[in-house]
Amino acid sequence: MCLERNELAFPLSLWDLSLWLAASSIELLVTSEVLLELIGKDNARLNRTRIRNVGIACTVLFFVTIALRILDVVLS
Amino acid sequence: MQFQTPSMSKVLLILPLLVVGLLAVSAVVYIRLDNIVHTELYRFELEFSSEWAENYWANSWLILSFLAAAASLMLFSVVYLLASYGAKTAPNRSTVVLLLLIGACAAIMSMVLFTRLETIVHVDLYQFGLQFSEEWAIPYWFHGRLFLGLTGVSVIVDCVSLAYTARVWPIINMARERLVAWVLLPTGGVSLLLAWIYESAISAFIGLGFVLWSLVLLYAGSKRYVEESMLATLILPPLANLDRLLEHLDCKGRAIFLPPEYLSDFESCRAYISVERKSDPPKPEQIRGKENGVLLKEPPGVILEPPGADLTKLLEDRLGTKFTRVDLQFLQSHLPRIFVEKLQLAKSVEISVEKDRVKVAIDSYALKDIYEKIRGLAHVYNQIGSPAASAIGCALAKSSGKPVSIEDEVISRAGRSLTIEYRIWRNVPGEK
Repeated sequence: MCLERNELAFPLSLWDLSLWLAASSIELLVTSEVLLELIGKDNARLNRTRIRNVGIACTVLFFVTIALRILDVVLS
Repeated sequence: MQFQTPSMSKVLLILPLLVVGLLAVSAVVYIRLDNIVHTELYRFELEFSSEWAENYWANSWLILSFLAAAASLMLFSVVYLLASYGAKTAPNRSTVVLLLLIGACAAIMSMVLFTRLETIVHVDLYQFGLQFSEEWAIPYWFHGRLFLGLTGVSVIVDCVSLAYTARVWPIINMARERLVAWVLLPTGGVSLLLAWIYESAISAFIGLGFVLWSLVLLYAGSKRYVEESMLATLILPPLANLDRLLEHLDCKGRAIFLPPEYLSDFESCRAYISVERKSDPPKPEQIRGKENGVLLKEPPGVILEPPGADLTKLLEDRLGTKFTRVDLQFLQSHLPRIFVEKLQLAKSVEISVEKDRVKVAIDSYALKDIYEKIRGLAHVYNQIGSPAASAIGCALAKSSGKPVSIEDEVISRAGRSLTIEYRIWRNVPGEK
């Protein structure tokens, strides 16, 4: 008699997070460029430089996940 | 002097206390249900095993912890409100909203965990010999539904108190992007928790997206923005005074932005306006040491700090260097980036240099309404130029080391695009 344990586990793997980071960085970088069109118009209260910085940070994290994957392949 | 004390909102005290009461009853009901499992079920051939018991206890412990956390947060919000009113200060709306919101989330989590516990009882325990009987099932179901009902009502009451908080402190005062961020953040948090519990990748992606965008909104929208109309009320009166002063002094010449050679303080910005309509720049020795005065006898005119002097300093700050240390080429390549990227004053800026002429084209200028109002000040606009034009004039004078004057300032595309033409006085007449 064996009972399946209901252990809590986060459902996303490193690859999933990598994909999500790539998509998010594209979204953020595109948003920062689109905001350029809103300069001088009303209600454009977001700082596009900061959005671009977050986009770049996501890109760096994406490359870190890629590096981890490569390292994993090389070491194994 | 007597200060007005903020009025105490009784509803905001009563509703969280009601939630605490409901959660306390829920906890009692849950403990009774737990007793049914640990006493009644053994009469129906359930065999004890750590395999099911560990899972059951972990869930049970989490349910009670979340209930306790929700009740504690509600109590804390009441204590916070009472302490604020006691100290005769207005309570912080964000703190109250956050406490109520996290409290509601904790109560919802206890309900979610209870459904997991039900799975253990109704699926797993049959593998350990439990026989179904209405004798234990009916009281178990009754207590289970009662627990879910009471906790659900407490969540609804919590939401009502949240809505009432928004009514007491109108939520409209909060900047839209911050409001959206504060809605997205807890929603994303709950979604991540649900993903963790149900191992749902979709919920995890939604949660991660919500959390990321709420943090982006809080980070990128955290600068203090002032409405352009508000900014105009601060900028225009000093410019109007300057306009009257120029009219009174009968100065007809165009402003000549002076390079560091003319000034005792190299980093300051000054403009000379002659009495004559057309005049050449003065010699450095005629200005040096007198730049802090206003009236100049020889040559006749006035020396002023141009309206864009502080903008020049801000540009230097953002550039990370002084205009006196760079040349025109550097200015040509770096100034547009500061205008567009750092200050977000325009969509694009182009600087072209041709011999002694510099043309600056600014597209989609952000402060077009203020610009329109400054155009109404004939002396300031025609003689010194707009703050942006005079700021660039100062920067050109500093980097070229020569006097600079505005030759033309043209506005087009319904006030959105500016073209300013400067003259760099490479040879000052009468200078050796």
